[in-house]
Amino acid sequence: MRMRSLILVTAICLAGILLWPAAKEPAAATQQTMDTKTAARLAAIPANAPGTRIWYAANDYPHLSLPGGRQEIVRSALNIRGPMQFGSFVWDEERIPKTGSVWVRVDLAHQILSVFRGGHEIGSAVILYGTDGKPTPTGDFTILQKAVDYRSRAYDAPMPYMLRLTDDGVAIHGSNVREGYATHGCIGVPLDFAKRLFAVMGKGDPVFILPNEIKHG
Amino acid sequence: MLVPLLVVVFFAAVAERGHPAISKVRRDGIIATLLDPLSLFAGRSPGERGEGALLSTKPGHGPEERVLSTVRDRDPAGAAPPAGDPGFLPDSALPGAPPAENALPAGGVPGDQFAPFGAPFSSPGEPGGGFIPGGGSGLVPPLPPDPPLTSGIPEPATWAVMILGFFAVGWAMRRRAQLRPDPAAE
Repeated sequence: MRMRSLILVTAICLAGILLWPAAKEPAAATQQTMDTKTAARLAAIPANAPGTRIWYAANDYPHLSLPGGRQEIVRSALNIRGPMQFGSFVWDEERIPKTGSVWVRVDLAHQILSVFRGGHEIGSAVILYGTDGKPTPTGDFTILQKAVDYRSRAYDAPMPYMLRLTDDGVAIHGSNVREGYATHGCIGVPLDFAKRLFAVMGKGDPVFILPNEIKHG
Repeated sequence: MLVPLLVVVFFAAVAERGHPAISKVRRDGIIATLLDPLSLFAGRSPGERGEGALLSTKPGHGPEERVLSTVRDRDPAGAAPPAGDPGFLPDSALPGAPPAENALPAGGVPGDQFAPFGAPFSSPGEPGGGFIPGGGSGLVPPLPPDPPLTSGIPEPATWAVMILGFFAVGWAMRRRAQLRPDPAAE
């Protein structure tokens, strides 16, 4: 009796294993019936230069909600695999049109900055920002002033490639970006990145600073 | 031995086949999430900034300056209330509040009611001394004894254990030296 049931179970299992390829078949079929949106996104992946950029399908650009009620479309984004190191950055404007509106998104919670031109992300870097005592303001700002060799009067400190955001002295500028450091309210970016950012940004270009709390849900 | 393994394999196969709709939705969701710019930003982020003291990027005079937060959530442990602070006062002790029936000690005068905690307490047994909420007997319970002051220097027991450890090490070394054959003897 015991033996018979053992054989029965084994037989059922063997049948299952033999049917395995058949079981796989329907799953493969469902992949083809994927909704067109996702299919378009999937189709966009192989067109990438390896590991550099994610191009979004023209009929399905994602939108980014920014402070001040602004919505900006993203045509392509840098494909940076894995977390960036402090002091490192990525800059890639190859195959990106030289014209187009430039804007910057600063994400204090994630400690990263992204610069977009014409909807294409051309640069991204790890940033330093202000402490709780001297916080970096959040919201939408515009570049008020540009200066290559600026020296802070308040702190008697050099602020290379300074892009001023507020009248009271908050700016994006070149800084020694290391872990465990913070600014007095400015946004610190690596010096080489600051140089490139300075070159592409003009007076009046918008900068959106998102708060340093990650919204869940 | 093989049978349980086969059972698991079989049910895995059935599960794969049984809910293609779920796996499709999941797969689509994963792809959509992976390609979302926000998830790209999160993926490249070095993470949220940690708690704790941060160093300033500005060149200070001398050692690197610390940018300490002005935010303090709580008082440092054991902080004494500022001088002149009356401390806890129950509602009934506030001017204008009706005096509680049982709040006034038996022989107390109304003025005593407003005596702050910092005021000297009357000695036990003397009726109508300082204000004690909920009192009424006129007896003032003795103040709890102050917690013993602990110093930053290791306690005697710690010292003793450490010195004992040194003795143990010394004893072991001496013993090993005795066990080792004398090279001069050979």
